[in-house]
Amino acid sequence: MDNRLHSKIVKAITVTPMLSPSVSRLLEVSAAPGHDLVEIIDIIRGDYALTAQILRISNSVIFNPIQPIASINRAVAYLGEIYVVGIALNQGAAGIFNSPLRGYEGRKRDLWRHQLYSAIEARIVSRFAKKPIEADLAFTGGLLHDIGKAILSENIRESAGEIIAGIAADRYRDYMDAEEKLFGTNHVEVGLVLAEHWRLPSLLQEIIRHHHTPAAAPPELRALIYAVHCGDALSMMAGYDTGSDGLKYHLDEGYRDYFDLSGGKLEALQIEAGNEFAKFEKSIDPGNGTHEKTNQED
Amino acid sequence: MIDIVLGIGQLGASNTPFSNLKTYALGSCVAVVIFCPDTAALGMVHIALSDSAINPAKAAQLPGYFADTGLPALLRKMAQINLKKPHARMFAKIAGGACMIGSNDVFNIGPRNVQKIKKLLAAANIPLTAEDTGSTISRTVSAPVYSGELEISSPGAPLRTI
Repeated sequence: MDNRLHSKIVKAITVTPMLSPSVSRLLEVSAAPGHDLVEIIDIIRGDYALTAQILRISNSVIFNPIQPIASINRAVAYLGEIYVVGIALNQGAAGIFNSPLRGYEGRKRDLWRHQLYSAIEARIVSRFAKKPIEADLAFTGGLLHDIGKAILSENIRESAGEIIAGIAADRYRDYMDAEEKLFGTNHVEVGLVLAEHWRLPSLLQEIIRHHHTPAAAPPELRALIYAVHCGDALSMMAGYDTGSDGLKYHLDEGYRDYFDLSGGKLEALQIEAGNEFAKFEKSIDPGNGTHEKTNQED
Repeated sequence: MIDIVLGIGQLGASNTPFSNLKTYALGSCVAVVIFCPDTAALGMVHIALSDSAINPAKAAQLPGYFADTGLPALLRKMAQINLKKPHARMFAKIAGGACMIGSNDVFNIGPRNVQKIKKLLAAANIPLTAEDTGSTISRTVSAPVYSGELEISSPGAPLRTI
């Protein structure tokens, strides 16, 4: 990799704000198999802003509780753990999720929408696993898998046209191959450096590392990472991509060893994911209409 | 110009020359645009899936979501505008239906959508005069009513008109 690019990426990551202690701890606990919801509630209780946000959302018209929810215990139980993790990350890593991905010609919040849709799909895909997997963990992995794009994007401006032409001419296998050949790195590698900077749990780092190469993941994590891989693919197919890279990645058919998505299941889960995504987006940000694909520019 | 923005499964039609039907970020979804030169009316539907049998309740709530319910719903909408000329000529253009590299039969939702829409258009005797479909790009489609042309944009690619 070019020294100048290397320095720029390292500097960009160094100045990226750390996750708040409560968000870090939340990710750590939620990634631990067999954890208890009480542990999640205890973390949230220690963060006034997050508590207020979760209470606001649980009482919103989208969730419409029969009686007002006044306690954080009830709010977390009512919304469910994945909602809480999603709300916390949306709030705690807004700078990354909201970046406009100029290098991919993406718009503001495209990264958030892509990762949220991927997360929802990954969780639903997990239901079709041949052996049970941690669906909530697939969700969290989906929310984080492409964080490297936020950093790499600012350093690969005006490259989209060359990459697209190169893929069409078979000079590059896919968008990630083009990133490697042109810049000596890719959004996965950069994402791992950011994950290290944020001290994300190793399990989440493995999801980031292998979300395009699930067959290379450790065997015990492979099903989980295939769920995120499929979620990523379905998110792009639903139009929630991150810009010029569009759907220019390979689908690894090895998912068939872990999931049965045949016979119309894929279509059914696309409908379910679309409904859940709209609900999530409306509840988090009711003002800007991001539940629909809009013309919001950066 | 007045933009009429359609989300997933939504449909709309207009014969106002200063309006523009638009839909964003089509991945495997397909925008079907029907133009009626006799009445200068244009309609668009943003179709997500080919067959409503998978979820009839969704089809009842949002017919434009599926090709087999969306196309008839769009034609009914167009008929409301074409009341004075019920037998007006119509033609169609479509855009979208992308898929991942190496997609298999299960994940090929985009090409399945395109195939189904073409069958339905043929059955309705509506000629398909242009298409920008398939490949691995997402598309934003804009259809100014006055021209009957589709302007298609994709990140990193030049604007195209069909």
